Amino acid sequence: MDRRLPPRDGEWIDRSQSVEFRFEGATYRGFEGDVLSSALWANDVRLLGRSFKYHRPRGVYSLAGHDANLIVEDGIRTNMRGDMLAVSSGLDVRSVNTLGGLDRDRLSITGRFGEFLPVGFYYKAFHTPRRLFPFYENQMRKVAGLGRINSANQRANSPKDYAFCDLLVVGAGPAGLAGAIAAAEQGLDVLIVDEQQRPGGSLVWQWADAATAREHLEGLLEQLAAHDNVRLWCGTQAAGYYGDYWVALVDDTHLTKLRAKSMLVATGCFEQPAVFQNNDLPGVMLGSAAQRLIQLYAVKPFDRAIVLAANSEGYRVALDLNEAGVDVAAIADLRRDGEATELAQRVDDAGIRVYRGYCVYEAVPAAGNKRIRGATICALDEKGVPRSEALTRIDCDGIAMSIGWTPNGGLIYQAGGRFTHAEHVEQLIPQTLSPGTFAAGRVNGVFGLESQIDDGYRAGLAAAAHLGSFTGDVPPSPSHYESPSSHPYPIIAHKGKKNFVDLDEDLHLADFENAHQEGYDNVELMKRFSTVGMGPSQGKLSNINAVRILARLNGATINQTGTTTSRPFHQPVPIRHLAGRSFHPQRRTPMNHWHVRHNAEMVYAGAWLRPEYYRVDGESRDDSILREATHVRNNVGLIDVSTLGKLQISGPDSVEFLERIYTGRFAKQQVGRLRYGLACDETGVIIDDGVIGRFSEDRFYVTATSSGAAAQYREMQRWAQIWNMDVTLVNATGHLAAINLAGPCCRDVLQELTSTDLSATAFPYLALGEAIVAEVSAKLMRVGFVGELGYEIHVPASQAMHVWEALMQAGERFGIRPFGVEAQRLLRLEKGHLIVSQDTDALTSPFEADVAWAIGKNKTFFVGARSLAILRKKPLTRRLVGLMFAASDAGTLPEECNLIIANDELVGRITSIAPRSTLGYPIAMALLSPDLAKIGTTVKIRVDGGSLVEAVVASMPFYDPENSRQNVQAES
Amino acid sequence: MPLRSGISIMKIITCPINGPRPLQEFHFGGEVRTMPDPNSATDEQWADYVFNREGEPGLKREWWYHVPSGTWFIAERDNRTDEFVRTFLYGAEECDG
Amino acid sequence: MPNAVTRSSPIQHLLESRGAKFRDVGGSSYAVHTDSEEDDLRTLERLGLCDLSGLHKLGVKGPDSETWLTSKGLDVPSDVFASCSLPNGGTIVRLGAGEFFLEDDINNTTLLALADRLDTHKGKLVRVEHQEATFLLTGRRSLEALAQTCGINFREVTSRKVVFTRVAGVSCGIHPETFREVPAYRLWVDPSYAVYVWETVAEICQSLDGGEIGAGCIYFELL
Repeated sequence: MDRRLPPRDGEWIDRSQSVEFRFEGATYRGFEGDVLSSALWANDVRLLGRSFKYHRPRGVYSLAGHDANLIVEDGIRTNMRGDMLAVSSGLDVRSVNTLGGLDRDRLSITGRFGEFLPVGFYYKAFHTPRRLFPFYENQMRKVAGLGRINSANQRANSPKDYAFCDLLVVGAGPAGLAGAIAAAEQGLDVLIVDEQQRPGGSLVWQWADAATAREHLEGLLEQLAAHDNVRLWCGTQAAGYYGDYWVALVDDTHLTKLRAKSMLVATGCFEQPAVFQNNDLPGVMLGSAAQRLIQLYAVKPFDRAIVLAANSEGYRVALDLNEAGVDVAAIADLRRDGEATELAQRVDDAGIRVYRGYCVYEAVPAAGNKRIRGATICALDEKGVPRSEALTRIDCDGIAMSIGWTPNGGLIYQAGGRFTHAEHVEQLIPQTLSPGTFAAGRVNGVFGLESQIDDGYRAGLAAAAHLGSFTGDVPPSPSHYESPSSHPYPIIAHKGKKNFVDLDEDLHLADFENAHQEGYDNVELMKRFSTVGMGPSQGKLSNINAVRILARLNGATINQTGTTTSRPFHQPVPIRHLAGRSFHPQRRTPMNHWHVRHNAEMVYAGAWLRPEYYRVDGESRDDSILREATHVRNNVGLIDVSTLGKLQISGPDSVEFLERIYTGRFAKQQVGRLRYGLACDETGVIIDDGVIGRFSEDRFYVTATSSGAAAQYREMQRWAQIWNMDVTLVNATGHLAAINLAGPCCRDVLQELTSTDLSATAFPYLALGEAIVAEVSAKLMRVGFVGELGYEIHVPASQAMHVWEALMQAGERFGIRPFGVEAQRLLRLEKGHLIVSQDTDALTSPFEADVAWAIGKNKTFFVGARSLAILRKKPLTRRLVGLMFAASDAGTLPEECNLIIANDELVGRITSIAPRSTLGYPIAMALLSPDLAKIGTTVKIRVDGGSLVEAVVASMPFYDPENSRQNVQAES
Repeated sequence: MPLRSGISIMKIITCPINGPRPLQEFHFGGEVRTMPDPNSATDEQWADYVFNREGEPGLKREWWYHVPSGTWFIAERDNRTDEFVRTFLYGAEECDG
Repeated sequence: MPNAVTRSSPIQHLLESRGAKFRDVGGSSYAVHTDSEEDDLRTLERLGLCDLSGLHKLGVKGPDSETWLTSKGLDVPSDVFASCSLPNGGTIVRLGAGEFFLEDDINNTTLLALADRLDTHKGKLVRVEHQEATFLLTGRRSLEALAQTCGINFREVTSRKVVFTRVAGVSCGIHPETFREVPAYRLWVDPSYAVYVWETVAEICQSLDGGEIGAGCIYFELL
């Protein structure tokens, strides 16, 4: 059956563009401009969705995206709301949350078990017997979700962008448009957003019977178009406010991060439902939904209808229905005195019967509940209690509810504003607004059309005044509408328990009474226990009724009861929009592409990409790592260590500065020498280490750990200011590359590329100098991290690749091979060298880590000194030790962080472990209780899986304890 | 003064050198504290300085660092309203009004 | 002679793999052009991204830096983050009370001479190694491209000032300029982030109908 009406002025559909689409496997036709809800209703498809818990049939309710009755998926996109989804050729969607399709949803049987599924039932059931919990959880997941995610989907980029304006106007209805014009006239750069596809707000559907409404809209749009400092973005929601007028704007394609200087909220109100038996079934809808169907989409909502009214809007709905050819059987007006305006006369003239002081007691379902076939109404007594012994039955297929409004005030709340419940409008209205926030129109409690426009204009001028662009007088706020547009308690009890307060969560009136009885009598508790307002529509149609119910149960006012916190998002936002391009900064060394070309297995170390090892055909990862390390021990290897922090400290106070930052002494350090630098924080905990090199009396060059470099530089900057020291600090980390050359043959390799005398006497262990290497200015050091003869070469990044390739070439005849991070970690572990934040944690002091030797004697002050003095007096609770495993243990070895257990007590943990080493047996470093730290003690480590593995405490270094390999003194 | 319910993720901080910038450009450096003389402070006084912070709501003095330009400065922030009252470079507060 | 080795851009291999032709000028390598000369020029005016990392850079830092620079005959900007031109076309930026950043013209005429005379100074003045990548984003849509990565309202920024902010999550200095009558933005990025920033911004340019261009349309001596 085709419910389409003849063409009408202002309709949004384009009848010249017919569109074919599929819903639940069946094909339908609609028009360009239809949304899914309107196109389906036009085809007399009333069953649009199934509710969350009871799988009740649901149809059109708000037609504005305020309800979540129609949610569909198409196999790629999921959780699309039917009220906001434009129909297009090829659209093929299904309703979510059904088992076996919408029509024969097998889960609708849950509706029969309502008695056993009261509010909060899942808190009380399903936890015993415990072994069944995984089963219950799996079953719940199957019934408790909405749309499905297709994990085979291709990633689609949804780029975000930034935008700026002076005034953001949210809502392009009469108040918003007027406000934008006023602000634009004062020279403000204005951005208007509206979530509907076209501007006009309520002007396009609520006042549609009045020609003045159309004139107003055209006039406002014309005035707006005259200014080129106004942008109008339709189909865009203001999803949330995040501080200092940063607002997330979301449309179909992406998210815009808007920074405004002020905000005018003209978002209007959400029309509210009444609560009565079966108020959720297809055919029961908000009056504004019926008007939208008629005015925007030219769809006849019902054949025969009654209107439940408590305001003037309800009478207008009745007249609109009548004009569209609907047989309006009656208006049930909750107000004893009925309607006071001339609308009452017009309704009378149209022959529509009005029952004053009446409510709808129940909607009568047709068989199968998939539509209604009538309504029963009855009078209310003086206390508002329904006189259910005298019911009048009226046949109809539609009930339009027009009983009240609640402001769409989320943005105002989020910006720090507050609302108060005003009795004279029976509505929450803004009480305080944050500086820079302005409200106008119905969200501000102003209901007359002319008043809304005036209020908008006033707010626009106020915004201009706030930003200093208008110095005249801002008109006063208009007084609010005379009689309330909202009924204070549109809620009718019914023992059938299908009088729904929250359609998303299938909560009916008794659920609230039960929750209250259990003690959840505070609005925050009530929300969380009952889950009211926690569904996809986030309480737009349920929160205020819930507050009314709670207030009555508590015998309190609405202001005393309060509301819950409004949070973003206003309407659902696809996660894809939030991800945007997903900026994940990556850092690369200048040799990165060389590593990749030479089969390096690249890994992330923080943001840095580093070679873990270099892959060799037929060789396992572990074999490769051991081979690389062995090659360094026996021959020569090259590793890219450009990620190291590199800091320059210069100036007259350099020595004093370094002695305060690091634990050591540097006053007597020779020019051209390195010393170990250990840095602690004020609590005495190790935070960084490196080498301190002296180039001249007042010029030092300091290395820092890759992960700690930025923080170390930052802290140095701060301390230098606090201590008011004459030092110049430079962070050269990204600008200089660093190459480490190590192994018995490395001097021979390097000597080919530099004229600097590298002999053991001229350039001993820990020497430092400026040199030319491969024709590039370099800083040259002799270091020993891996325990072999070694040099570190620091060169400018733009020339580093040249130096690397020169070293590879010079080393060719010596068999030079590159080695990666894992091999380096193995080699240094064999030497017992700790890595900060690998072998130390947030509490490790130099005493625990066995580096107390780095603390200078007789120092007056350094960061952490005073705390170390305290710690020195306390007994150690743990120590960093070396562990050895039997060679045959290679199969069942612990991993980092596995715990050391003694007598069922935790006595330590593994910090570093190498399952294979050049020594032929596995080794590790661990933090261990001092009682067990004696060399030769056997300890037990619990591995994943629960079994215990033995290890023996060993002295470190494991390899070359005399350090003869790295400290090569004599010529080889 | 009642607590604000506003959300503040995208706050603007006015760096004394760079001007107003969004929160993401900054690193929080902790409460501004004065180190007691380590030589004369007792162990308890020293531990209090190192581990304890002022928890009372009110006007806080905080270190903030503008990361892209490497600028340290001090901010006075009312943590009841999450309002930055003023910002200034270390040592500049006497000149600042 | 030290530092005779030609300097490569941090994204050199990336451009090479896309078939760019390189030329060496002033001790650095530059990708000359991506498409034909005419196409590159049109892209430049629409939305182009150009790698100028080869331009030599130098930093001086310390209490004596300003006097030292003026003693070498250079005009220095007085406001923090303000810039002015070097005699032969490069740029000098004040980073702080006692810190300056200099970027030379393509022939490296100013900095080569300057850098040699720095090393002998005592600790009141230090030479800062600057190896940043230099990317020039040009064209009528350059602001639109930038707005996908950066939260600064450039309409409110007066030119000849560097803005230190984040681009795609990475710290960056942005210098608004004009080139061939279209807006342009010069980005200075730590070299370790260069590949990431280039690929991110290039992808954005491509999605906005722009693209990578060679340095030949900026510096004709490369052609």
